[in-house]
Amino acid sequence: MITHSWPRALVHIDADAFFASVEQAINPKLKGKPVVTGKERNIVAAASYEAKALGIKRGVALWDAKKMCPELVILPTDYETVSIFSKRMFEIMRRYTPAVEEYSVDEAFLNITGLRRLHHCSYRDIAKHIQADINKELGITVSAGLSVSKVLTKIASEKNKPNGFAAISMRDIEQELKLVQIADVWNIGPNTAELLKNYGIKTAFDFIKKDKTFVESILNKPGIEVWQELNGESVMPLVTEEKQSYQSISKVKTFTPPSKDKAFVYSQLMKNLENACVKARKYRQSAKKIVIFLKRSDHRAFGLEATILRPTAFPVELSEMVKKMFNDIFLPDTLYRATGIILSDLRTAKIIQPTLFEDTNRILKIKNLYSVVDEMREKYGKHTLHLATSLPAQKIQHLTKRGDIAKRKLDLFKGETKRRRLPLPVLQTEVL
Amino acid sequence: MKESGILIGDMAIVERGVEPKHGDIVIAQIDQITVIRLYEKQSGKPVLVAKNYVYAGEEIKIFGVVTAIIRKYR
Repeated sequence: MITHSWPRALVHIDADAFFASVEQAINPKLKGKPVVTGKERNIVAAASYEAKALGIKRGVALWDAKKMCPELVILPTDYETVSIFSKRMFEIMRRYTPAVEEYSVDEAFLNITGLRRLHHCSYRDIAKHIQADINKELGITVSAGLSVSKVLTKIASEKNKPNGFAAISMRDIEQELKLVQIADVWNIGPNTAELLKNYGIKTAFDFIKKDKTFVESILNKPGIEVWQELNGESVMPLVTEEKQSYQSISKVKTFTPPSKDKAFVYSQLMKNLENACVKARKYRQSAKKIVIFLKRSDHRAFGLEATILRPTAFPVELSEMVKKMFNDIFLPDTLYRATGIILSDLRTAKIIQPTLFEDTNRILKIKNLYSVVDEMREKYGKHTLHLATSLPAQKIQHLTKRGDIAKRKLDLFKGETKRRRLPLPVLQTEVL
Repeated sequence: MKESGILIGDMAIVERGVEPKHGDIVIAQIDQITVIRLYEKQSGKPVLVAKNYVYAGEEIKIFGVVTAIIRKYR
């Protein structure tokens, strides 16, 4: 057993009710009020702490939420502002350490090992400084957890939410883990939790007290890693570099209201195809496999998978195949609410190797066409040029009232367009 | 804020999380109302000034300091 309290120092930072907090940060009138976002999808996508205190949870229908709290402020999700806040939050973290893993839009893991002398303070104070800077500069709160492994930092950051801080050093592990249910541990799924309960393991402490041979006999690699991490051994590395390539790319979009219009549902699918291909081309990748799926209004999804003869990331080369697949699964008189495309078995797009009966000239033409499409996109924004079949989906994702589109998209400055705006958060209140 | 050359419809670039100094233009909140004002210190106390009107109430919450005003014409 290592007796040293901090063999390494990792921090998990988790923004509190991020999407709702961002709205409160750009609109002082919403401070202290119950706020939820997700208006365009008719469900609570994120709830502020004031709303959570009234029992409003993620995923609840807005209609029910409004019944629970008539004065609830309901807003559409403003992805643009959220992503600006997210970027700025990571920038603040990087002032303290270059080792930042952007785990999700509102969560990060940091490695601050060995930085005490540089910042002239303890590990606790480094974490608290980062927290304070984010709060002061962005007007949102985050919770931070300091510990010696990723899994333990997750437990620490969860402990005193919101705006909380907790540290778990090597010495504190046993005592802290007595308070944690095994099902609440990161990377322990409900099935694993049930399995462990059958062996009499209720808390994370019970789990770390089992010896390794026993753990190895009942769990596979991810489970064993959690056991090691809980024991203070760091085995999950931080992924600090930006993604250079993808294993698969998926694009899924919900539209409201649900539709049974075949051409419209198809156009939604084609738009996803175009978006997925844009991403693939950005990373210079081509797909060998494609999955399409349609989600019905009862949330059941139906899909088909196909192999692409020659790997590609050009929608025109895939549209015929996608159309056939779509026709196979689309049922008339059925309401659909979402469509999705997954490109997988991705490989680096290098020289195109035409199959035996292909017209090389046509391939070249398509390639040239898409280099123009990509150039236009860079210059004028997404979907400047698109397939005619995706036209119905280009205009409306959510056929709804004016109030369902984020205000940032509606109140434009001179010179801004619907597709291109300044990457700045805008104060959403009247200034006298 | 005409007297400071700021007109309705102008875009103000605001820096958050910095302490205002005497003579800065700030975005502040006075009882739930958001205002743009000149920040001054009069006999050591912070006050907000606009059109010769001085607000010296207790509850001045500074949202941020204005670093630039932009007026676009097209």
